[in-house]
Amino acid sequence: MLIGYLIVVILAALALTRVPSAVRGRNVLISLSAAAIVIAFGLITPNVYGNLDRLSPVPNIVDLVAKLILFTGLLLAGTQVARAWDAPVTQRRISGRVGTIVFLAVFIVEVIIFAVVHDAGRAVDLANNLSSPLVRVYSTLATAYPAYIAGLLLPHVRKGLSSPKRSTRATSIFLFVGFVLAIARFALGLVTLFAPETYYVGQVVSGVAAIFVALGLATAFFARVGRRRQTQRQFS
Amino acid sequence: MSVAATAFKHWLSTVDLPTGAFPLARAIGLNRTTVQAQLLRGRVREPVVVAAARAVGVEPVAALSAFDEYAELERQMKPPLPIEVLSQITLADATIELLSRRNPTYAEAIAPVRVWEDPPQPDGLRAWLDAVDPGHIRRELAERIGTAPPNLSAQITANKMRPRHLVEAARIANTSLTSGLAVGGVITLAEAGWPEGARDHALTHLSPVALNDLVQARLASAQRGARRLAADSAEAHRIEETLG
Repeated sequence: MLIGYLIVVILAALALTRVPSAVRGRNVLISLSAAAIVIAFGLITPNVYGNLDRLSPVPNIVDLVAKLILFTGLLLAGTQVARAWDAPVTQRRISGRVGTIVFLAVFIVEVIIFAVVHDAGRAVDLANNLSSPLVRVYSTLATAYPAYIAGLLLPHVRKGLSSPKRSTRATSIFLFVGFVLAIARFALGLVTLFAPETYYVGQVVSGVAAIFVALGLATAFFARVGRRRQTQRQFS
Repeated sequence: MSVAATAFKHWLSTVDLPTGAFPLARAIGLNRTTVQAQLLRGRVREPVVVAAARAVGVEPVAALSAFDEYAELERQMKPPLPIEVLSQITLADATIELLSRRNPTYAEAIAPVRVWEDPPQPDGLRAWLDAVDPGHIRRELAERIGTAPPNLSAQITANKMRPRHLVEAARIANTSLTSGLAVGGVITLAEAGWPEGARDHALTHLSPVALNDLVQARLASAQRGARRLAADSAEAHRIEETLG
């Protein structure tokens, strides 16, 4: 529980650094994706989830909304990372026709499963009913989309690990670890299908993966700010 | 590959150096955390051995040869091949020679400030490997050291190879086993058995055609490096602008 809050606080702190740039209209998509990921993780913290779910007419709809927001945040972040690494094919697989089909397919299947199992007690990811195979599929499928995005971007980010530029290397390292953890989370999700007790480990891995991705984006942000200040000093 | 810490401690006792990490680090002028970490890990890297040898006036090649990993090093130390010597001549050195031949006053003007660049030089490893390559050095080296060829290429491009691999490359090339260590900057050219002024001698005895070829090769290498740097900078800029 404490870890969940800690993850949200860290993600929110990293997202807040984006606000001044976003207000000036700079890299709005990345700022929106950071905000979306914070909101998604914020919605599934126990108190927020409990209070909002009590107010909602459909049990656990908050979880489905959180997933939709998270997927949207990942779609935006993935698109921008692909653009940053000049990978148009990967970008199309994330936000082109193929990417849109994958996004919709995963989410529609989630909605269908949700419609069947959503009233099995109020809990994030319907986790208090993990004995149901369908709930486990619902939870695991939600990790497939982040793993899809991570799997597409991993080869590009990996190339940046050996860059002689420190900022590129730092951004790549954080994103690389984050993406590897996102894939590991999906693998853990598959394990959860047969061993439900591994579910909670997987949730922590999800949070840590999100922190690493956010750190990667923050590194790029600080590198850009640092470079701009350096340029200003040179010409002032 | 490094040398075993136990063997290193034994060698230290033979040259009257302290075996404790802190006094040793002070005596040889290295960071004590580095020395302590390596002793604790049980493997001591070659630069530490070389620094210890220099501190007590022992030839680094002789010191390294005291360890099983480098037992043949001193025995197979030979004068460098002329082509190896040329491989360690930089663009600046070759260009100065070219200008000096065009007009002796250039040579006189540059002479007071001229400094021969010692290895490791930019792209020096690639130049050396290309010079001593009997035709299959990269493939055979990758096989012998158990590295994938792309990883070996990356090391060469980064101008960083492990000392043991440098020795192995020299062995494949059938040249002095110490040459690679000198080119990699582990030991100096003099410590590797290169005669004083070898590069100057080789350069001044080059024919005009060979000198032009050398300048052209170094210029091409510098251009490759500049292009790589520009591409890396552009990539960093794009990442920062898109994600930052």
